[in-house]
Amino acid sequence: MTCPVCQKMCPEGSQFCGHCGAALDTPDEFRRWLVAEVARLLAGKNCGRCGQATCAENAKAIVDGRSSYRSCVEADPATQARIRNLLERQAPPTLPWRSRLWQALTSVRLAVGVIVALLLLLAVGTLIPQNAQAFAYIQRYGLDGYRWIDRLQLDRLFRSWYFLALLVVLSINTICCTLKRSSVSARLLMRPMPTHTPEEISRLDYAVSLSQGPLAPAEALGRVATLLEQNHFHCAREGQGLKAHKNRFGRLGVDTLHISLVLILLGAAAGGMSHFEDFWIAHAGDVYNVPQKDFSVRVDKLWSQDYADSGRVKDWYTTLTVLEQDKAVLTRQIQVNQPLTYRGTNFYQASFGSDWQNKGTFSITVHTTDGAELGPYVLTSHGNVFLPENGLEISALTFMPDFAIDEQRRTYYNRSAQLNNPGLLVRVQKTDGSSYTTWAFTNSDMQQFYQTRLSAKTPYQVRMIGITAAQFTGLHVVSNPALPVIYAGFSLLGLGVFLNFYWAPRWVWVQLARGTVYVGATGRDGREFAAGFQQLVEALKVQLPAADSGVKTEQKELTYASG
Amino acid sequence: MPLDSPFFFYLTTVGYFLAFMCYLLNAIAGKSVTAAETAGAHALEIALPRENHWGRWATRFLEGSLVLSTLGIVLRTIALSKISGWLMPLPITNTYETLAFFSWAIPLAYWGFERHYRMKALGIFSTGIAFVLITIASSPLVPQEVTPLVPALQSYWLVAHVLFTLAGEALFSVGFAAGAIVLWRAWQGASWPRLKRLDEISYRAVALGFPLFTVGGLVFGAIWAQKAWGRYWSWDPKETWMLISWLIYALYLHVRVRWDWKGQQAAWLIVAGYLATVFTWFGVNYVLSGLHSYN
Repeated sequence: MTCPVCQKMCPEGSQFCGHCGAALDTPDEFRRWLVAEVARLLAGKNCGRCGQATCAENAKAIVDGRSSYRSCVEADPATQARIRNLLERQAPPTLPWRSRLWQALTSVRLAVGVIVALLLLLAVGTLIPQNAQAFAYIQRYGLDGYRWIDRLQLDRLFRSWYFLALLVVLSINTICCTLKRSSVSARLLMRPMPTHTPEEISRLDYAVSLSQGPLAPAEALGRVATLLEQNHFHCAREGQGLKAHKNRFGRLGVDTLHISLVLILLGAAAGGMSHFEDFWIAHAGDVYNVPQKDFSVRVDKLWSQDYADSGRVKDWYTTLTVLEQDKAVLTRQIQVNQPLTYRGTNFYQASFGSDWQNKGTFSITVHTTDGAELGPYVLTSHGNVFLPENGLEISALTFMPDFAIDEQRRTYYNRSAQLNNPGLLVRVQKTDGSSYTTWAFTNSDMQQFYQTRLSAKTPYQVRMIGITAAQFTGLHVVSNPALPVIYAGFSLLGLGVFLNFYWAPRWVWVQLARGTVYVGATGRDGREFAAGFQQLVEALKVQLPAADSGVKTEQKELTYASG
Repeated sequence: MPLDSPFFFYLTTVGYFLAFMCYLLNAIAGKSVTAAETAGAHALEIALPRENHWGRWATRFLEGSLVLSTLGIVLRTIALSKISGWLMPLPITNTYETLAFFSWAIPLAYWGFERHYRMKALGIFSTGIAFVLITIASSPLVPQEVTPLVPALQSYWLVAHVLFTLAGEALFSVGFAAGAIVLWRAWQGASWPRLKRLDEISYRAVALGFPLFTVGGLVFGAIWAQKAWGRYWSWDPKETWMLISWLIYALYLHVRVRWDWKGQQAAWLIVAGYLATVFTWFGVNYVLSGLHSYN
C-alpha cells in the first residue's frame, strides 16, 4: 500500500508509514471518492433515522465501517446492493484522463523505461564511432550498413531526434515527480511531529517497550532524552513522552537531486543553442577577433616547458592580451587547465607545436645526375625558389614530420607529429613547362632508399639539409552562456546525493505509561534504521536499570508488496 | 631491492594471496559447520557465522597487506610529486598506478564492511581481486616507472575526480561481491532469510558508494573537463560508459526503493552496474578510443 502523505510504499497492513510516520488508513483520494459515491446513492433527505445527523455523515460512517450499508431506511435493496458493491471495491474506477496522464508522468515505471532505453542508446553510441566521415562507415559496415546508419542517425546518435526526445521525456518525468514529491516534502517539513499514544508507538516499524524500573518518570524520560541528544536527535518533551527527530532535511535529498538533473539538462539544451566554439592556431603576434563581442585577443608569447630530467612536456604556456578598441586591457599567462576567461569567453591552452605546414623553413640542395651540388636554397611552406641558371623552379608542396610507407597500399603517410623522419614533397618545374614531384629527406639513408627503390630516375634530386618552423599555440575558444546553470546543477547534484544518502532522517517517539517506557521509531526507508535503532535500544537498556527484566523487543519482519 | 613503492606492492601480492586463501578456507570450514547443523539453524547464526581460526588469520593478513599497500601508495605519491614538481598528485595517472590504487582501495572498503557487519564471506572476492590486480601490475606486462604528469592531468580537479570515483567504485565492488554471492547462493537454492543480510550489505555498499561516484565521476569529472578542454561533456566513450554505469545504479536505487526489488532481481542489476564500471575503467581504454586514453 502507498502512504497518502509521502507516496512511498509501506508494508501491507501497517498502520503507520515507515517513511514519514503518518497514520495510514484508506488512501485519501480513494476514500473521498467512495464517500462521494455512497452519498450519491443515499436519499439525501437528512432524516437522521440512520443515527447520523446527515446523509453525508452517514456516507462517511458507512465507508469507515461505523455504519451498515443497510443503515439508510430509505434505500431499496437494489441501492443497498450497490452500496455494498462499492464498499468491496479495492481501487477507484478509471480516473479521468488528466489524472491518468499525471500518474503516468509521475510514475517510476516511466523513469525506469526511459533509463533502460537511454542505456541501450548510450551503449550503441559508443560502439559505433560518432561523427566520422561517411567513407569510414562504408569501410567498416559496407554500403548497406552505412545507409542504415545514416537513416537511423546512428553516426550522430547523441544529436538524433529520438535521443533528444528521450531526454525531454526524462526531464518531464523528473519535473513531474519533483512537483509531486516536493509538495509532500515541504508539508512534512513544516508539519510538527504527530503525537502517538503508547499503543500507536508499539505498532511503529521499530518498537520496543522497556521497564521503567525504579526511576521516577521524569528521571527516566530525562535519561532517554540525554541519550537521544547524544545521538544528535532534536528532542522535545511533551507530557509523559518525548518526540525526537534528526536529519530532517535529508528528506529534501531526492528533490534536490531531481531538480539538479533537470537544471543540468536544461542548461545543456540552452548551451547547445547558444554556445560558441572555435579552434585557433595562433603564432606570436596574431590577433583573434571574438565573434559578436567587441574585443579581440592577441598572442604575445608562447612557449613549452619540459621536465628537467625526462624531457617530457611539463606544460604549454601562452601570454594573451585582451584588446578593447585597440587598447590593451588585460594581459594573462595561460597554460593547460588554466584558461583565460574574459567576458564569458574562455581561451583554453589545447595544443602546442611547430607549424610545419604553414610556417616551415626548409634548406635544400639540388643535385644533378652528374653529381654537382647546387645551393643551398631556402624554401618556405607553400613557397618556391628559382634557379635561373638551370631554368628550374622548385616549390614546396607537403611536409611530413614522420614520413612512412604503407607497404600494402603502396602509399606514403605521416605516422606522427614527432620529427622522426621529416620529408618534404617538392615540385621541380622546368622553364619548358614539364614538371615532376619528388621527396626530399633530411636522413641521407632515407634519401638513398627513396631514390633507388621508390622513385623513378629524375634529372634532379632534392635533399633537405635543415628545417625549422615557427611555433604555434592551439587555443580552444569557447563561450557558453548557460555554464552558470550547469554549475548550479552540479552543485545541487552534489548536495542532493549527500542529503539523500548520508543524511537519512529518523523520527523517535517515547511514551511513559504504566511503568513501561514505549520507544518507537521510523526512518526514511524502513530497513535503513534497523541497525541504528538496535544500538539505541542497547544503550537505553544500560540507561534504564533493571530494564532487562521486562524487555519485550518487537522487531517486525517487514513484508512489502509491490504497488 | 630498494625500499620503493613497487617493493611494497610486491609484498602485498603475497599478503593478499595469503588473506585470500584464509578467507577461502574460512568459508569452507564455516560451511562444514553449518552443514553439520540441522536444517533448523536460525537466521541469527547464519548472519554471524561461527568464526574459526582461518577467519582470524584472514583478517590479520588483510590488515597487514593494507598497511603495506598504504605505504606503497604514500611512497608513490611522494615520488610522483617529486618528479612532477607539484604538490599531492595522486598515484593514479597510468595503468600501473590505478591497478595498485585499486588493490588498496577495494580491500580497504571491504575491511570497513567486515568490521561493521562481522561477515567474512565477501573477503574472498575483495582480497582475490586485490591479489589479481596487484599481480598484473607487478608483472612485466605493465611498465612500473614513475612518469611525470602530462599537462592535461595537472589539476586538483583531476585528483578530486579520480579519488572520489575510485572510492565509489571500491564500495561498488563490495556491493558486487555481496550481489554475486546472493546470485550464487540463490542458484544453489538458498532461502530468503539466508540471503537477507547479504542483500542488505549490497544495498548499503551501493548507497554509500553512489554519492561518491556521482560527485567524483559526474560533477568533478565535468568540471575538470570544462577546465581542461573547455567542454564539460563531450560524449567521449569513457564519459558515456561512466554515465551508463551511473544510470544502472540509479535504476537499481529506484527499483529497490520504490518497487522494493530485493534478492536476485536487485543483485542482477548490481552485477550489471559493476561490470559497466569495470568496462568504463578498463575496457574503454583498450576497446574504444577517446580523450581519456592516458593509459
